[in-house]
Amino acid sequence: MPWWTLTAAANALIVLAYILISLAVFRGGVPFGRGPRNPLALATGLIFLSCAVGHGQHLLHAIPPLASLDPEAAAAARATFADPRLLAWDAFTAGIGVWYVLLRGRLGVVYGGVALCEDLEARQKEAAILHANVVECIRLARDQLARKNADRAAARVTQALASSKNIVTHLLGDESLAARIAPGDLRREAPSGGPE
Amino acid sequence: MTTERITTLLVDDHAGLRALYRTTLEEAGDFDIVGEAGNGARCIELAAALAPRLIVLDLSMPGMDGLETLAVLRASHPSTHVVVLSGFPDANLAAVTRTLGATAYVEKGIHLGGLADRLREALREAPPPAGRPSDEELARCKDLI
Repeated sequence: MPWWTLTAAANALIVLAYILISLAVFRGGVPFGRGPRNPLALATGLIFLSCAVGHGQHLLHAIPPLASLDPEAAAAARATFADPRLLAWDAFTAGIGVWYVLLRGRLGVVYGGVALCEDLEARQKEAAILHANVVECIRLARDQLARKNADRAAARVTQALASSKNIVTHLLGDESLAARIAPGDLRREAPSGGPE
Repeated sequence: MTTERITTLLVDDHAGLRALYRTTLEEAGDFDIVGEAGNGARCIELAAALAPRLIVLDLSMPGMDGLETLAVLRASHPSTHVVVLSGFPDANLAAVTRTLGATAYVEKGIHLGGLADRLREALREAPPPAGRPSDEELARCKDLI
């Protein structure tokens, strides 16, 4: 078997691995609803995709059907692929590519985490505004109670409850994050109303 | 004509809320509050001792939370209906609690005047308690959480 075929096989493996990695990176942000809008995930995915195309081009020059259309370019590509140093390096790269593909399950956490950090400041500001709404509503409800106007007080408390619910949603990130709560995650340190 | 009494165990770590639920449900007429618990472990003890028809269960509690308690109750007291009453928005969490065996999920934000009706409705619409969760159900639950 000529040396160049081994290098071509390594390049085919690299192309496949890089495409799978770029797809996994693009998908990584999706659980957080930020996919391609996460610039780090987008740039990383595009780099892998670009490398896949580059290796793919070298490969296509060396193998049919493109090789039979341009025999001179095919011969040059095969001569380059026959270099044992290139074979060693491409085989090493293919191995790393396959390893990376096997680790792709962790990408969602990495890129989702980055997106969450970027979004944290905006969420904190929103939570602060919602908290101010809650405080204001409760204060108004207290005033209404002092004036013995129970209906208006109840309306303010309902308003406060709605704002408070929004705080939970915003602090948790989104509904999909809320869905990842598992048994044991909701343990309190102490009873919510103080010791009995 | 006699109305069937609904023996009920209230589980919430906030004593003030338990008192409020007790008063509200007793005033509704057909609920018998047979016990109160402030955490999951006490709930399981009382469920064994009192065998209530309904358990109203909070989720966030010290020691053993509501999700853990629910899984134990489903296995040990399959004929008891459990309605989760929680401050968390019901999006997705309601599905998790149903998979773990809850009859219904009610947000704490609802008007207290409607609580008794909501519990009756949950009991009326509930299928017979399904007993211990199957391996398939537990696997689905793991997917959800």
